[in-house]
Amino acid sequence: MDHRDALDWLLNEILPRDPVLSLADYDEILNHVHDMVWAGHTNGPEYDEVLLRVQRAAPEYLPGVNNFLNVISMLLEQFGNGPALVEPLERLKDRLQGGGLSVLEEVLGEINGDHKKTQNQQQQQQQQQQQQAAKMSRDNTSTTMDPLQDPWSTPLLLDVPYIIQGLHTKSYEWTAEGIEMDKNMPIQLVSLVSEALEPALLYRQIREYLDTPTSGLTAQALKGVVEQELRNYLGVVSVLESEIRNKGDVTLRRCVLLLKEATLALRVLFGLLRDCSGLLGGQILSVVYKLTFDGEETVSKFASRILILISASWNGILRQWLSHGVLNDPYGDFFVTFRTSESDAEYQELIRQGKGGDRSGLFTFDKSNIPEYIPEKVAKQIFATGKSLYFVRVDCGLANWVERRKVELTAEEITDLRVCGSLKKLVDSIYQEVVSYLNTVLRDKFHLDDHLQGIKSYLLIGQGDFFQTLLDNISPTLARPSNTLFRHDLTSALEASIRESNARFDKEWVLRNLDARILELGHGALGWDVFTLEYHLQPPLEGILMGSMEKKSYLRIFNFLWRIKRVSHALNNGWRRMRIQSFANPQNSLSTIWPSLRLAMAQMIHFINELQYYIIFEVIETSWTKLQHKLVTQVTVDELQNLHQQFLQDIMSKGLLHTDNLVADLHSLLKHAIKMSGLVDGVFEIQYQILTGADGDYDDRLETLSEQIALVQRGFEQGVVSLLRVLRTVRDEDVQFLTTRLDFNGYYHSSV
Amino acid sequence: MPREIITIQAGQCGNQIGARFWEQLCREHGISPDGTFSPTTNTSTNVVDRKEVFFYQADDTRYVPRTLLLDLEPRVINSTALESPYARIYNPENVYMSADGSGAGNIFACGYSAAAKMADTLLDMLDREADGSDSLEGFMLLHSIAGGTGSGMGSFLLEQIHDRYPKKLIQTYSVFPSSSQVSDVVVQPYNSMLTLRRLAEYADSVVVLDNGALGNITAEALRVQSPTFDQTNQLVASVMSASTSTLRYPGYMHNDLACILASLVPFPRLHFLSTAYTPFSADVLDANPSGGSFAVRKTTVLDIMRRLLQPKNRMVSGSVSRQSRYVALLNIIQGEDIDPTDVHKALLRIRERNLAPFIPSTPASLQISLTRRSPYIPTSKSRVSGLSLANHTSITSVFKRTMDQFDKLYRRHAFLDQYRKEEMFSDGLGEFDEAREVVNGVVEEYKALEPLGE
Repeated sequence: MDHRDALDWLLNEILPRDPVLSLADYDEILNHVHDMVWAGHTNGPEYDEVLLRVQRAAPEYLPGVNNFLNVISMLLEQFGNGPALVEPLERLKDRLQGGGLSVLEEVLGEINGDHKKTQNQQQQQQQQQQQQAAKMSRDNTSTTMDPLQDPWSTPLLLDVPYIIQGLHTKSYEWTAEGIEMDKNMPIQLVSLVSEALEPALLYRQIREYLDTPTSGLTAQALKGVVEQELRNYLGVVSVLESEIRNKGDVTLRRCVLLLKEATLALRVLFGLLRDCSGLLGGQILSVVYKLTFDGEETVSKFASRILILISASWNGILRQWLSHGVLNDPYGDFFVTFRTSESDAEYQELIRQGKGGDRSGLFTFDKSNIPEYIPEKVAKQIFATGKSLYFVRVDCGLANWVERRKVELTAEEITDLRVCGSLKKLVDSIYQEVVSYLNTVLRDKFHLDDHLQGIKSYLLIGQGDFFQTLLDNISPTLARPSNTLFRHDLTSALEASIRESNARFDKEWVLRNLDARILELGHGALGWDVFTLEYHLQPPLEGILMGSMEKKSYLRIFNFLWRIKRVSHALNNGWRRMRIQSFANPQNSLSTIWPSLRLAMAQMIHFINELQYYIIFEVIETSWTKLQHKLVTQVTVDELQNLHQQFLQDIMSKGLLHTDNLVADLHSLLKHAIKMSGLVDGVFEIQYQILTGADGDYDDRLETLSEQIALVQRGFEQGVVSLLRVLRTVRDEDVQFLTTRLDFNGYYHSSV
Repeated sequence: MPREIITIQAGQCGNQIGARFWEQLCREHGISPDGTFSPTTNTSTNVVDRKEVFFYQADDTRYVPRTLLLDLEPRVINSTALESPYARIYNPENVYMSADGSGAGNIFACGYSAAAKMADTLLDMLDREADGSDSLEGFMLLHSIAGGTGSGMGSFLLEQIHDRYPKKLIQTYSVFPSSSQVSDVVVQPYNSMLTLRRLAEYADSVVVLDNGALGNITAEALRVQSPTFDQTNQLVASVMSASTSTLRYPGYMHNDLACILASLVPFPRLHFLSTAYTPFSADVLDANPSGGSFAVRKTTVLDIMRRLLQPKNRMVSGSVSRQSRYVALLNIIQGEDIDPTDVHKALLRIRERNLAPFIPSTPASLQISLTRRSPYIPTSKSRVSGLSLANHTSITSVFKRTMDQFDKLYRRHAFLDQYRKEEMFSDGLGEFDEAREVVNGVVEEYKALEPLGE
C-alpha cells in the first residue's frame, strides 16, 4: 500500500466517522491534501494553503487534518516515497481504526521522538531544494513505479520524446494553445506531466519565433545561435528517447530530471527571443548584454558566450565604419543611419531649413540603437570618426588614405567584457588620428583658414582698402537703374579693385571665389539696391560653410555692411568737398547754408563712424576671435559647421540684424544720410553756378535747399533718438554699449 | 588705389623730423637702408601693408620715399639724410638745397621769397612726384613755424598746392616754438603768426607739435635732463608713424586720410590737432638698443587710453581751462590681438569719470581705431601702444600765446627791417594785420564751441 491507498483509506474510513460534513467539503479538503501529497509538498506554502482552505471549509477538522498531514509528511520524509512507506502506513492505519483521529497526536509524538536526528538533516536538505523549487522540480530519484502497471504514464512516456520536439503523436495533438490532455488523466499525474512537457511548449514557441521572418544581421545571428542551442536540446531528447526505449526503469519523473537543464536553457532562449522580438541590432546586443549580469551563473555564462557570437556582424559594421567610413548596414543594425529614404519634398524641406544640401547631414545618430556596453560618448566619437572618414573619402576625394587604413578590434575589446574601458581608449585614438588627418586636409589641401579669412575680408568687409577702391570704382555704375546694369560692369569693377588694392596679394584660391552679382529685385531699383558680393566656396568646404542658410545670412550681413560702407564713403566724400579749401572763396549768398550743412554732416559722420566701429569691433571681431579660439583645437566637420553657424548667429544677433524694426530704423537713418550727401551736391552745383557767374535767382533754390537740409537733419536726429530708445530696451550688454557710444557726450540724452 | 601721400620736408626742423620718419617707415615696412625689401623677421607670406602710400618702386625694385627734401642751406639735409645709412633710399632729384647755401636767416619773408624765386623748380618737383602717383590723396608738410625756411617756404608751398591741387588734402606736422624757453630768434612770433595764417587757410589739418612739450615728454620718458633733437624727433617720428598706420596697414576703417580727418574735423577751420603717444620709451629702445636701460612696462588698453587723456602726455603745452572741451578725439591703438572688450571697458570707465568732456553742440565721442603693428619689427605680442589725435578747444591757448608775443613785438614795430625788404611787405605791413585777424578768428570759433563759463 502506498500513500495513495492511505489517503483513500483516510478519505473513506476515517473522515466520515467524524462530525458530518457535506460531500463537497470532503472533496475540497481531500483534493488539496491529495495534490499536496502528490507534489511532495508537505511543508511550506502549499501546506499552509491546504490548512487555510480546510479551516475555511470545515474548521472543526482542522486539528485532525493538520495532524494527519504532519504524520504523512513525516513518514514520507523518513521512509521515502517507496515500499518502505507501506509498513508504517499500515501501522498507522491500524492504530487509527482503533482510536480515531486523536491517535494521530500520539503517532506524531512517537515519530518526532524517534527520528528527530534524521529529520533535522532532511529538513535542511529540503530547504535547499525548496529554494530551487521555482526553477526545478523536486529530485525524486527513487520513484520505483512500474511503468507497465500504470495505465497513464506508460504510453505518455513513450510519446514524450516526440511531444517535446513539438511533434504530434497518436494520443497527443498540438493545438494553437498547446497540447490537450486527456480529461480522465488522474489528477495526481497532471502536475508531473505538465512539468515534463514544459520544454515541449517552450520548444514550440521558440520555433515560432525562429520561423517569423526578421531583418537585421544581429537578429539573424541570434537566431543562428538559438538554432544551435536547439540542436543541443534535440541531442538531449534523443538520448532520453533511447533511454526510454532501451531501459525499462525510466519514469516520467526521471524524464523531468533528465530534461531539467535543457528546459532551463529553453526558458532562457525563449525569454531572449521574446525580449528581442522586433528589436534592432544594437538593442538586441543590449538585451543579451544585460543577461550577462544575470545572477544565475549558467545564464550569465551563456549570455557572455552568445554575445560574442551574435555581435560578430555588428562588429564587422563597426570596423568598416571606423576604418573606412563605410556604412555597410543594409538592415539597420548599426546606430548610424544613412539618409537615403526621404522623398524629394522632405529633402527640399531640409534644404530650406538649411540642414540639407550638405553631405554631413547624410548620416543620423540613433541613440536608441547603441549597444549598452558602449557609452554614449564613445558612440558619438564613433559616429564622428566614421563621418569624418566618409567626408575625407567621398567629399574630399581622398580615398587612398582611407583605404590604406585598417582597424583591428577584437570582439572582446568592443564588447568590453574583459578589458575594462578598452573600447573607449581605442576609439579615442582612432578618433584623434582621423580628426587630425581631417583637419590637416581641410587646412592644407582645402585652405580652410584662407577661406575663412577670405570670407571675413570680402563678405564682412574686413579688407578696408579693397572696399574703398571698390566704392570709388563702382559708385557711378551703381547709381544707375538696376535694369541698365550688366554683370560685366560689376565684375570689371571688382577686378580693377582687386588689382588696385592689397587684395591683389591675397591667395589666388581666395580671389577666385569672389564674385559680384545683381540681385533680382524687379524694376525701379537702383544699382545700389541690387549689388552684392558673393564668395563661392567649392566642395567640400561649400557643404560645410555655405549651405543655403549661411548664404542667406551672409547676404543679409553683407548687404547691411555694404550700405554702411556706402554711406560712410558718401559722407566722407561730402566732407572732402566741403573742407577748408572750398571756403577760401569770398563770402556769397551760400555762406548762410554752410554752418547748418556742416553740423548735419558732422552728426551723420559721427553716427556712421560709431556704428561702424560697433559692428566691426564689437560684433564681427569679437565673434571672429571667438571662432578662431575654438578652431585652434581639432574639429570634426559637424563641429566646424556648428561653430561657423554660431559665428554667423552671433553677428546677426549682436549686429542688430535679428530685430526687423531695428533694421528698418537703421536703414531709414542710412537713407537720410544718403539724401544729405545728395543735398551737398546740390549746394555745390549752385556754388559752381555762382562762381562761374551764371545768371539766375539762387535765393529761391537756396531756400528750398536750406529747408531740405533742415528737414533731413531733423529726420535723421529723430531717427537716432528713436533708435536709441529701441536700443535701450534690448537686454544685451554689448548693444547697450552702442547706445553709450552713440550718445557719448549726452547730445541726445535730453530727447531720449 | 593706394591713395598716395607726398611728403614735403622743409627747413631744418622738417628735414630732421623727416629723416627720422623715413627711417621709422623703412623699418616698419621691412625696407633696408639700401631701399630693397628685405624683412629681417620671419613674417607670414600674407602682405598686410601698403608700402605704396609713402613709397614707390624704382625700376630696380628699390623702394623710394615719395618725399621732397627742401632747404635753403645744405647742412641739415646732408647731415640728417644724405649722410645717414638711409641716404640711398632718397631720390636725388627730390632734393633741393639752395645753391648759395645762405639759408633764410630765420626770417619768414626770406624763406617765402626765396621759395617764390625758385617756384618753377619746386613746382616741377611737386608735379613730377604727383604724376608718379595713381590716386594722390594729398600732401604732408613737415616744418617748424618759427624759423625762416620751414615757415616761409612751407607757407609758399601751401599756397601753391592749394592752387594747383585744390582737390588734394594737405596735412601738416608743424613744430611750434617752446613757450617756456626764450628763443634766440627774436622774430619767432612774426614767423609763427604769418605761418599760422596759412595753416588756418590752406591746410586741412595741422598736427601741432609743441617743442617744449616734446622736450618734456622725451626727457621724462628717457629720464634725461635735456633730450637731444634726435630724441625728440624720434618721438615725432613715432607719432607720425602711428597716425599713418591705418593708411599703411589697411583694416576696416580709416584707410584714407579723408576718413580720419572727417571724423576729427567737423568744422573746417578748426583743424588744429594735438597728439599724445604712449608708451614712448620702448620705441626709442627699439631704435637704439644701446640707448638706455628702461624697463618695458606691461601696458593694458585701459592704461593706454587713460594716459592718452592726461595733459602731461599731450604734445602741446597749453592751459586747459574748465571750459575747454574736445571737439573730436580719435585714439589709434596699435597692437596684436587687442580685445575689443578691453576697449569697451576703458571707454565706459572714461565716460563714467567724465575724463574726456566734449563740446555739447554736436554728437561727439571718443573714437577708436584698432590697428596692426608692423610685422617687420619684432615686438612682444602683448605690446600695445596708443596715439591720440585730439581736436581740443584748449589749442587756442597756444594761439593766444603766439598772439601775445606777436602783439608785444608788433606794437613796437620791432625787428621789422628784414621783413620790409621782401616783396610781400613792399606795400606795407597789412599782411601782419590780416594774419592776426585770421588767427584770432580761429580762436573765436573755437571759443564759441565751449559752454559758457559761469
